[in-house]
Amino acid sequence: MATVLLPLAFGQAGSALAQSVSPVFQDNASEAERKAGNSQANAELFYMIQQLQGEIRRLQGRVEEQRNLIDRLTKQSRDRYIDLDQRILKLSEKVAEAPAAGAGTGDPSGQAGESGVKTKIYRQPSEEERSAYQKIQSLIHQEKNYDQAINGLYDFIDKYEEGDLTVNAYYWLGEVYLVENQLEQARQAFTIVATRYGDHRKASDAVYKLGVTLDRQGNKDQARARMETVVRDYPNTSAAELAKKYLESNNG
Amino acid sequence: MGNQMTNRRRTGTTRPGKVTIWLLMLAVMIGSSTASAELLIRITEGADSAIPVAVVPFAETGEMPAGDQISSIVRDDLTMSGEFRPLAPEKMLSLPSKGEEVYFRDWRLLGQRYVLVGQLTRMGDKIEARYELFDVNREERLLGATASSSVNNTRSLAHHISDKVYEAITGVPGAFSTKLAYVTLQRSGGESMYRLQVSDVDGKRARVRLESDEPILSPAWSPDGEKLAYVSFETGKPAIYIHELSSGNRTRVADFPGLNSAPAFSPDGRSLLLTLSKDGNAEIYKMDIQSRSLKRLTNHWSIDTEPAWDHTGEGFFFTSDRSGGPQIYHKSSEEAEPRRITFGSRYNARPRPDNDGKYVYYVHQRDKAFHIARTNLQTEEETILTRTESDESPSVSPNGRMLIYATKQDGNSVLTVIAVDGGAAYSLPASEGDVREPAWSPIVR
Repeated sequence: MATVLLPLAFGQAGSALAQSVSPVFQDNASEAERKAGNSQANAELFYMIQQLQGEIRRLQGRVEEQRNLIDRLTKQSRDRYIDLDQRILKLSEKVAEAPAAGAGTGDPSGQAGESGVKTKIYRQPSEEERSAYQKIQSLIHQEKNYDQAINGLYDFIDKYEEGDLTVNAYYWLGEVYLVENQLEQARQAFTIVATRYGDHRKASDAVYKLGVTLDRQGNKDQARARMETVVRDYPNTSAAELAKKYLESNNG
Repeated sequence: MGNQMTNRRRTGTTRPGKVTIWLLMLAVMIGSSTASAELLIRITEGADSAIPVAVVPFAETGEMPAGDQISSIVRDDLTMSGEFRPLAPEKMLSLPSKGEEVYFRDWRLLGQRYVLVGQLTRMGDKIEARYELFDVNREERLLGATASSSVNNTRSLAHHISDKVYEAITGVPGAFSTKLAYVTLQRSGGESMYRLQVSDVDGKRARVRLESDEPILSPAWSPDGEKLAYVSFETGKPAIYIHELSSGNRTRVADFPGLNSAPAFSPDGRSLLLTLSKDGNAEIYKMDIQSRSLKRLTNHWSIDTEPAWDHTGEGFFFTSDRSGGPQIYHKSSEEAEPRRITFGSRYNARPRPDNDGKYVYYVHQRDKAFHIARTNLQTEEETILTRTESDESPSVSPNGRMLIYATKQDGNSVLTVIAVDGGAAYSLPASEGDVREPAWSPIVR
């Protein structure tokens, strides 16, 4: 009974006071009991709400922290990707240089020297040029802002002539146009790399993509011819492998 | 008109000028303003990277008012910013006062980067200053200008020159002509006396604007620098007042049952953000000052308080304990979902954004100590700016270069100013009692 009275005195002091003033009869007592039950339920409800509020606070905090963590992780993985991309780019430049150096020493096993086109070393980019190029790369890969990337590529080609990355820029111009399904522009860009810079390390990819573009334009014969060029002139490249696959699947 | 004529004729003799009369009137209005507790400046730290600059004592023509020399006030201002290291005048090889007299090789020899020279001329009840700033390495004049003030107001003239020099060298407007509002507390016997004061940024020319034996809290400047909003308990319970500084007129704008706290003017000066608990628990409201109409901006059963508009004037920062402990949230518009800004610790409160939306400053608890920290809103990077342990009430200078906050020093509350990029610091202890709740005024043009 004490447990019943406590919340009564606590929660409903007014009615408790009235209770003590008026004489206690049978039905009044049952009324009091009902009220006591009510106020105990109220107290329990109050306690429960408090508990729920505390729980919601904790959960709210956790949701906010996790959202923040996800945001940070997303950003981190993007940064890491850019970093990795940069390192791969540097590495592939080194790889491209190495066979050329090997051929220079007269090593007869030098693969590039055996058949096809020799890879020439182009003017290496300055720091500024490299960072401008990186900016465009991130427009293409991360932001997928192709229109701005196309503008950027044209500016880049205008500004930095005949460098290693200039050829890359032409190549990417083709790639972006291909994504945008502007096939004629893509064809022109790949053609520039294929014909003007046939000795650049991107040339094999460019000729292959030129084939792909021609294929998409419906010009199957021309496409086949390009693929054969890749296999003949740029053996041992990944582009040659892809070209072989194309030729096999388009044989029949 | 006739009055002006006589004034001119009597120039030079001792007489109460217009300004002094106005001052007297003000003193009468406020009553006990003579009791103003001046802040004493104490430079506690200098920056290593400070730029050496020579401020040559200005040449003087005519009778100059008593008090600090203008060039020495400029020197103090530049030192205070933490970004400059002025050369002591006794080390100077020559004392030029105009461009033709500056020999760059002398100043190069002394390792100075910039030289400021000038002349002061008394013209009636005015002082005119012509000053020129030179780049020693490039042997180039960066600045050549004239400014004037009344004889009684040469400190303002000096601060104005400091602003111009600061801007010419750093490219950022100077904030030396701005004001500080703060509350001092003096206890004697069982009595407490709270005083709302306004002073120059160097703590000089402090004047009491309101005196009360009940607490005064959270002064906030209007964007035109002409009004202060604050919380006063003078009626025995908290109410929010807007106080017009030039006239001393006060209006009680919020006196609702429960909490009335943390006023903040909107950038257009037309509305106030406030925290009220009239509808149950502490929520943030916007009050249109003209019509006094209220709009509720937050709705949560936890405490939402300490609002501060962001630089756009569309959104605002606030403190909420909806995730357990107090954290800083931002709403990018009145209707937007609140986004939590701080994650570094369990206690982050009292947000104060800078004017260009780059950083938000706040009180940050770490290992039981309270510091001032800031978060870069783009990178979300958090930096703790202070090393003292019970820091509160941050307020950023309007040019975003300095920060003032209240802290404890030898058991007293003092104000400390630091350069936000590190290095310089100075503190402003009241000559007696505690000083807290600083608010840095906007730049008024």
